[in-house]
Amino acid sequence: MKEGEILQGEGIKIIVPSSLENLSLIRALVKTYLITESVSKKDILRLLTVIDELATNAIEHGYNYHCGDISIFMIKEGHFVKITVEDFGAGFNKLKKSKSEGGMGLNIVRGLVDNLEIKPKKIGTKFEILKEIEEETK
Amino acid sequence: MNSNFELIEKDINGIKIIKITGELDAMVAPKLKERLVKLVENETYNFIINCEELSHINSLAMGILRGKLREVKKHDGDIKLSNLNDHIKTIFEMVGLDEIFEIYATEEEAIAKF
Repeated sequence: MKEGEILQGEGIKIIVPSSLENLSLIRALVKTYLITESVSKKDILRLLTVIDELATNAIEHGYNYHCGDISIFMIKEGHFVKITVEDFGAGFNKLKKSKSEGGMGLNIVRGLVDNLEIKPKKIGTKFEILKEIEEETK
Repeated sequence: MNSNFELIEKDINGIKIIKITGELDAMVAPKLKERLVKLVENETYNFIINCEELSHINSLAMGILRGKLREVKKHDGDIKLSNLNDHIKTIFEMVGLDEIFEIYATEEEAIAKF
C-alpha cells in the first residue's frame, strides 16, 4: 500500500512530518477513509478526536516540536477499527508533565476507545487502539 | 489544509461573545489564547464562547479555556459556554470540564445568566 492510499478492506497508512500544520491533513485523510468504510458520523467524530490527540502528543512529547515522522495505520475489521500511531522520538514518559494547558489528551483518548495500549520502543512510542464502531445506516 | 478556524466577536450587555467556527486544533489554539490574553489585559472578564459552528476541539484548547476561566474568576468574571454539539459536550464531560464551566443550550440562555 502506498502512503495515504485508501483501499477498502486494506486500511490506510499515513506517514507525515511531525508538524502541527499536518494535523488537519491527517484528519482529512482519516475522515475520508472512515466515510469510505461507512462508519457512523458519531464514531467518525470520536476517531478524529483520538487521532488528533495522539498525533499532537507525538509532536509535543515524542519530538518536542522538532523534526521527525509520525506513522498512522488504521483499518476497519468487522465492527472494530484498529489504529496504530507511532513516533520515532524521545519515547513515552508518563511522569512528564504537559504544559499548563495540557494533560487531558490521553484521558480523552482512553474515554473514547475500547482499548489503548502504550508500547515504548527502543526509539519512540507506539500507541495501539481498538474501538468498536457502528456503521452508518443507509 | 485549512481547518476553517475563525473567531467572530460581538459585545452584548458588556459581555464579550466569541463564536468559534471550524476546527480548533493544537495548530490554531494559540490564536484563541492570544485573543483571550489580549481581552483580559484590557479588563474584559465576562465571556460567552458560542460553539455552534465548532466541529472539532483539541485538549490543548480546552486547557486554554480552563486556564482563562480561573483567571477571569479572580476578577469576578466568568466564561460560559453555549451551543455545544453532542460530540464536544461528551469530550467536556469526559474530562470533568462540564463541572467547572456553565454550559447552556443557547447564547441567549447564557447571556441571561450573567
